[in-house]
Amino acid sequence: MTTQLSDSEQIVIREIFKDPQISLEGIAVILERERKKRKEKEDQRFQKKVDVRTVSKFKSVGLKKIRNGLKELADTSRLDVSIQDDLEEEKLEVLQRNGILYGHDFRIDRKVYIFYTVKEGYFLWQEHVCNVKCQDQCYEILDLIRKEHGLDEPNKNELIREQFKETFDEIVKREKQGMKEE
Amino acid sequence: MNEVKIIKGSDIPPPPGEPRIIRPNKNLLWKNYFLYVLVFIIFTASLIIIFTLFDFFLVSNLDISRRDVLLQAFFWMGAIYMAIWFVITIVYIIGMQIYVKSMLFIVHGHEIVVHKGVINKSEKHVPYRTVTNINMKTGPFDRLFGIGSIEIQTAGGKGYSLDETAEEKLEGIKVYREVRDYILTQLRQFQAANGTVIALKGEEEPIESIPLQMLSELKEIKILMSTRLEGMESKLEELDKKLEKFQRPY
Repeated sequence: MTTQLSDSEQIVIREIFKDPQISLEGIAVILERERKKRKEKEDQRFQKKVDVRTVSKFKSVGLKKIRNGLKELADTSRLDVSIQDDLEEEKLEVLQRNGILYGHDFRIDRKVYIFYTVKEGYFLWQEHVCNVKCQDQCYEILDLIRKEHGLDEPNKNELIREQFKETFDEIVKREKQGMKEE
Repeated sequence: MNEVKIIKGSDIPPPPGEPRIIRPNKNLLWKNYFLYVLVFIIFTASLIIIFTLFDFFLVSNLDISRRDVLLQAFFWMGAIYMAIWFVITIVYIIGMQIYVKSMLFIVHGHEIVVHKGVINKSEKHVPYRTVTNINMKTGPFDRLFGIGSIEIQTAGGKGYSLDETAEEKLEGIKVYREVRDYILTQLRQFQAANGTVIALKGEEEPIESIPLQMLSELKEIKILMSTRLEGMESKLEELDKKLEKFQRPY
């Protein structure tokens, strides 16, 4: 199974990342609107009305592809993704749904994060204290992740490494709150 | 998959001393199930061959009434055999799942802890000072499922030969090569810190790790300072610009 997401899957995933509590009907409306924009380029089958079942299919296939992509990348990067404590299991599950996976690289004895972003694809970020050379690049990635997940802009004065952790906590917290409300 | 962007950043290791928990991969479970099915097939096939030969040489020479009784007995034996296997299979599937889930390996800066067992739960501590050899093993079935195991041999092992003295075995690890190297590095650091030199199988002289550790810490401090200074410099420049606005000739 390929880990490349189709255009429709990308739209659905983008909306889920932005707002995990969004309804399938809401995504269907957005998807239909986006498809109409591309009307001239695409063939006839994309001009049909989008129903909830189609969105649900795109959602499950898209999430599965992301999950497989993250696992594949973790395998090829030789990361150990063992759960460190029982509380982490749930957190890891939520993060994987949001295109984030982390593990430990024993070769460099460091934590490594793998991100999936709809705009730029997969990123592999080795945990480090940013210096002048990499600060801008790391900030851009953090900004991209936060934007895609509907979070505020990162603080330039704070350490990026800490902000990455805060971002993940925020994502997990947001999903948990949403589940409680449901 | 498209090209993956890798951001490495500066070369600073995280603070040492944090224990790392390693859990066996799920493929260990599949490997054990595969071996179980293989044993079942071989055992059943050999039984079928024996009974066929028995039938060919003995039963065919008997009269019809005796033959029927014997064949019926064979049928019931076969049914009981399958029922027993069925029960064993269910127990094995559940038991193995619990067993693999109970396995846990913790690598500290001074010892390796191995948690194992379902009924008899054990927690074995292997201090680095007792470790004599570290072996990495990947059998054909391990390779088939992409896993491997690390054997830790100690001075007080209970085996008969040198190769059988594995005190502990870290099974079903996917990144076994990396874990082995990690344990070796930790071991070297421990030895260097304690002034003990233990011969490692296939390894050369221990690395002087304390100066390296100090160097990495100094590097970390340097980079932290440079980041902070960079921020201060930019703020000073901003202040200078603001001050320029207020400067008036008298």
